[in-house]
Amino acid sequence: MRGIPSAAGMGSVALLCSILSACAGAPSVPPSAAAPAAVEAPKTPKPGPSAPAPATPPLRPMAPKAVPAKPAPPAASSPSSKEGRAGQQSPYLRDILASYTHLALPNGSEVYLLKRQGREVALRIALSEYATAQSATEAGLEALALDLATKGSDDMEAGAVARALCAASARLDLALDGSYGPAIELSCPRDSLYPLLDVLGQSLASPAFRRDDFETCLMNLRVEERREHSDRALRASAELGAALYGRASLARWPVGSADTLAKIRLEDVERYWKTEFGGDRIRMSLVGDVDPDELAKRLSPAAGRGIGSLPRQAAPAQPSTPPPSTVTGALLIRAVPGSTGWTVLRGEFGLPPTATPDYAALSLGLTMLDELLGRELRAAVGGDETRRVSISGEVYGVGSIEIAGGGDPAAAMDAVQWSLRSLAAGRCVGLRSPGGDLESFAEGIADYRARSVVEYYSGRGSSAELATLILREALRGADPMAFFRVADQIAAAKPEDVLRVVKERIAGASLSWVALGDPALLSGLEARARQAAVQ
Amino acid sequence: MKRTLLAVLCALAVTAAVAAEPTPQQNLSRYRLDNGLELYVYRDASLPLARVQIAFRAGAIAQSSGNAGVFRLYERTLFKGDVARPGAQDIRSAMADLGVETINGGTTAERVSYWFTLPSSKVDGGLALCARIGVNPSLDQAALDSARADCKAAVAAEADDPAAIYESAMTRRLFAKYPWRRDPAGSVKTLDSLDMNALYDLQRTWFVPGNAAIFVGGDVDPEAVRAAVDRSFGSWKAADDPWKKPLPPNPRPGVMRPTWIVYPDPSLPEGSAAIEARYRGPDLGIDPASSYGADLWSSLVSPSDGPFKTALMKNVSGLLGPDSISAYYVSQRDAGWISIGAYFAPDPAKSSVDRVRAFKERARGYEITTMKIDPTYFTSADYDAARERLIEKRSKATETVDGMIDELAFWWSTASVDYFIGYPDALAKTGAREVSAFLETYIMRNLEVVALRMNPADFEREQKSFEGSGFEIVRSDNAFWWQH
Repeated sequence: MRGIPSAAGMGSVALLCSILSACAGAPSVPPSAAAPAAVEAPKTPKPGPSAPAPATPPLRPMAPKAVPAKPAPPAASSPSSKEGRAGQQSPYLRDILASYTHLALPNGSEVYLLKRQGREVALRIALSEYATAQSATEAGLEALALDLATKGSDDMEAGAVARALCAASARLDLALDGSYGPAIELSCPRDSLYPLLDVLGQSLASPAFRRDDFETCLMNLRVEERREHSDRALRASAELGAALYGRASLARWPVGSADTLAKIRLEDVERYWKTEFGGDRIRMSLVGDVDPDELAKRLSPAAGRGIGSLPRQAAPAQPSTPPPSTVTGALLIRAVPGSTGWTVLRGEFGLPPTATPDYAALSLGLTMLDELLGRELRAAVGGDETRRVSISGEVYGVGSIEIAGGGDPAAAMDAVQWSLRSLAAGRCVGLRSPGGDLESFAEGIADYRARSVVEYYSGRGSSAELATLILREALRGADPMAFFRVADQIAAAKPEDVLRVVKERIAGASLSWVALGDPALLSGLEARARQAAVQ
Repeated sequence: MKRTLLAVLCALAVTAAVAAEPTPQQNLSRYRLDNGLELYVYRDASLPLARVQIAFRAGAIAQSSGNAGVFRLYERTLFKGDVARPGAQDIRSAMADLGVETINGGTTAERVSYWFTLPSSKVDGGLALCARIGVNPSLDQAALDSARADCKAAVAAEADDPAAIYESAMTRRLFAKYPWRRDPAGSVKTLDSLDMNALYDLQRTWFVPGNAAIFVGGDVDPEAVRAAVDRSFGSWKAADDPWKKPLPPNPRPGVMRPTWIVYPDPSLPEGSAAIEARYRGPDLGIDPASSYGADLWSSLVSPSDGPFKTALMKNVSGLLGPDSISAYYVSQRDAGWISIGAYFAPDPAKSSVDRVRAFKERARGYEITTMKIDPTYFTSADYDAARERLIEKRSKATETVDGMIDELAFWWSTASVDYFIGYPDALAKTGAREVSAFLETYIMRNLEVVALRMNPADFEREQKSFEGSGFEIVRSDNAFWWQH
C-alpha cells in the first residue's frame, strides 16, 4: 500500500480561473425511429460561429440546440470542419473527436461515449428537462427519485444492486454537483459494465421504491443538504440564485432544502417517477475502454430489459429554459449569524455557450482578470493568507468571481472594480514583468493563451470528470464535446475578441453581487451601497 | 550536404544511446540516457496538457544527524533564488511562454521532486525549463539566508503541531537508530550549521543524472519527448552513484521491548481517544517480496464487516465502530511500518490503560495469531476480493496523468518502476502462505510501540495510572529526536 503522501506543493498564489458553463436549456431531441441505436461516430465538429455573439445580459436563456440523431461523417473527411477562426483542428482535437460516439436509441435515450483505451469506465446518467420537471416546493424530489430508482426493481431481492456492485468492485453514487440537476454516477471495471448496465436498466424500468431504501436515501440527502448549507461559497451562490430567480426552479440546488426534504413522502417519489420519467429523458455519458459497436448492441431494445428498452414518457416535459434574471447589477448583502471573522463576496455573470469562440475569449479574459485581482488583492488585504480568490461557474450557465476571507469586503470590491476597469481598458498584467506591470492585450495574449489552457484543463482528466463535462454540455443542448474544443478556440482568440467579450460579459454593470457573512465586516460595504442608493 | 549527413549521424547516435525499453504497462515508454538518467513517458491524450517532473532518490533518507534538514533547505534555497528571484528574468519569461504559473517542489523522506503542468504542445520548452532548475542550478547566499529562516520557522511550527509531535514521538522510538532519516525538516541547530558549501556538496553528490528520473505524461509523443530530453539533459555529466555504498538498515524490531506511550493530544475532542500499535514493516529496499503479503493482509482486514473488525468490535469494549478500526502497511524503501489502531470513548469507570492493553492483546495475541495459523479465518473469496480491492485502488490512483506520474515517481524512488509494473502479477501469486509468512516475521516475531492519544482533560484524569503502568508521556519538548 502506498502510504506516505507525496510532496507538498510549493507556496503559490492560490488563484484559480476557469469558466465552467452548465445547464441553460435542455436539448430538443427529435424522435428517432431507427432501431437499433443510431450511431454517430465520430462526430463532426461543429464550426464555431464566425460572427461575434450578441451581447447577452447575465443569465439570459440560450436557445436550445438540437442534438443530431443522424450519423455524421468522420471529422477527417469533412473539409468544412474548422475550429475557432484558425480553420484547423489541432492533432489533439482530431484524435479525441475520433474517439467519440453518439448513440440515439429508439426510445429517445441519448448516449455519449468517449473511448479511452485501457481505462476503467465512468458512466453518468441524468434526466433531461430537470429544470422544469421539478416544482419549487418539491426541491430534492428528482434527486431522491433517481437515487431510489437505482436501488433495485420490484422483482429483485432487497440489496441486489448493492451486492452486484460490490461483487464487481464498482461504485454507484448520487452526484449533486449542481451543474444540471442530480445524476447517477457509476464507476466500474470495464468487464463489469454490461452486467451492471442490465441491473441498472431493470431497476430504472420498474423500481421497487422500498420504504427502507427511501428512508436511507432521504437521510443521505438530508446530510448532504446540511453539508452544502454549511459551505460558505455554496451558500453565497444559493442566496444569489434565490434572489435572481425567485421561486423558479433554477434557484434551487438539486439537493433541495431542509424544508422541502422534510415534506417529501415515498408516495411523492412514486408519483414523480410515474409522471416524469421515461426512456426519452435518459441522457447517459460514458468514458472508458468501451467498444461503441458492442455498446450499441447491448443497449438496443433487442438486448432485453436494459436502458434501451425503457418506455418513453407518455407526456414528456417541455424542454426547459431558465427564467430571465430579475436582478442585474445588484448587490445583495446578507448578514449570517455566527459568521464572525469571515465574508464571501460573489459576483455572477452570463457565459456564452462553451463551443463558441466567445467562450474561449472570455476564458482568456478571466485568466487576465485573475492575475489583475491577485495583484490588487495582495495590495488591498496585505498578506492575508486565508483570503482566496476563485473565478468559476458551476451552475446554470453562469461564471462567477468569488473572494472569501477575513478582510474588508469593501476593499475587495474596490480591487475587483479596479481590475474590471483595467480589463475593459484592454490592460492586463505582464506575465514576464517582475513588478507585474500592465501591458496591452496584444502584448500579453500569447502568454495568456498558454496559461489559460493550463488553467482550463488542469485537474479534469479523470473519466468521471470527463463524463460529467460531456453530459453537462449535452443537457444544455450544446455539443457534448465542447469542452475538448476550447483549447483550439483559445489558440485562435484575438485581443479584440477578448476585449469585446470582456466588455459584454463582465465589465460595467453586467455582474450581480452578493456579500454574506460577518455583519461587522460587511458594514463598510453596506454603508457604501446605501449611499449609492440615496444618490 | 555535410550538415545533413552530420545531422543524420547525430540522430542515429542519439537513437542508439537512448533506445526505448519496452514496458508491459500500457502507454508507458522507458528510456535511459548514456549518463544514467532515466526517462518515463506516459501517453494519455485525454487533455491537451503535459506534466513534466524530475525526481531524485534523495531527501531525509540521505541525511546524517549532523546535516538533517539539508535537502529541504536546498529545495527552498533553489526556489527562493533561481526560480522565484525577481531578477531571474529568464525563468520568469520561460514560465510565461510555457503557461506555467507555478513550479512545484517537494522534499520528503525518500524523494526530492520538481514538477509543473503546461500545454502539451510546449513540452519541449518544458523540458528545457526542467533542466534549468534540475541540472546544477546556481544558488546564492541571500536565498540561502531567507530559506533558512523559512525552514527554521517550519521546525518551530512542527513543535506546535499535534500531528507532527505524535509522528515524531513514534518515529523516534520505532526508528531509534537513525530517526533523522525520516525527518526532512531537521533541527534548528543543524539548519544553522549549513552553509553554501554544504548545499553545493549535496548538489554534486545527490543531484546527478544516475540518481534522477524524468517523468513526462499527457498528450505527448514518446519519441519526440525522448529527443527533447536528450537535447536538454544529454550533456549532463555522469557522476558516481551515491547509493553505491548501501545504507545500514533500520533495525527490526524497532524497539528492544514493547514500548507504551501516551500523548495528551489537544486536537482530539474530549471523550475520544486513539490507540495505535506500530511495528517495523518490510523495507522495499531490502525485502520487497514480503510487501505483497503485507498489502494483501492490509486489504483483507479492511472491510468493516470482515472477520477482523467484527471480532474486535465483539471482544473489545468501547470501540467507536468498525470504521474506527484500521490496520495497514505503509510502503517505504528504508522504513516500512505497520499500524493497527482504533478509536474508543474513554470512560471514567474504566481504566484506559486496561483498554489499550486489551485491544493490543486481542488484535495481536488472538486475531492475528489465529489468522496466521487458521486457514479458514479468511475464505478464498475474501482473498479474491482483497486482491481486487488493491487492483481497483491502483487503477483509480493511476487514472489521470497526474495520478500516474505521482505513482511512477513514488515507486521509482521507493522501490523501482519494475516493482510497480509487475505488481498485479506478483499480487496474483500472493495468497494465504505469503500473508502468514508476513505476519510471522513482521508481527509475531516483532515488537511494537503502542501509543495512546487522548484529550489533555481526559489524560489528566488518568495521569497517575499511566505513570504507574510504564507509559512514557509524550510532550512537545521531548517528542523530537533532536531534543535528546
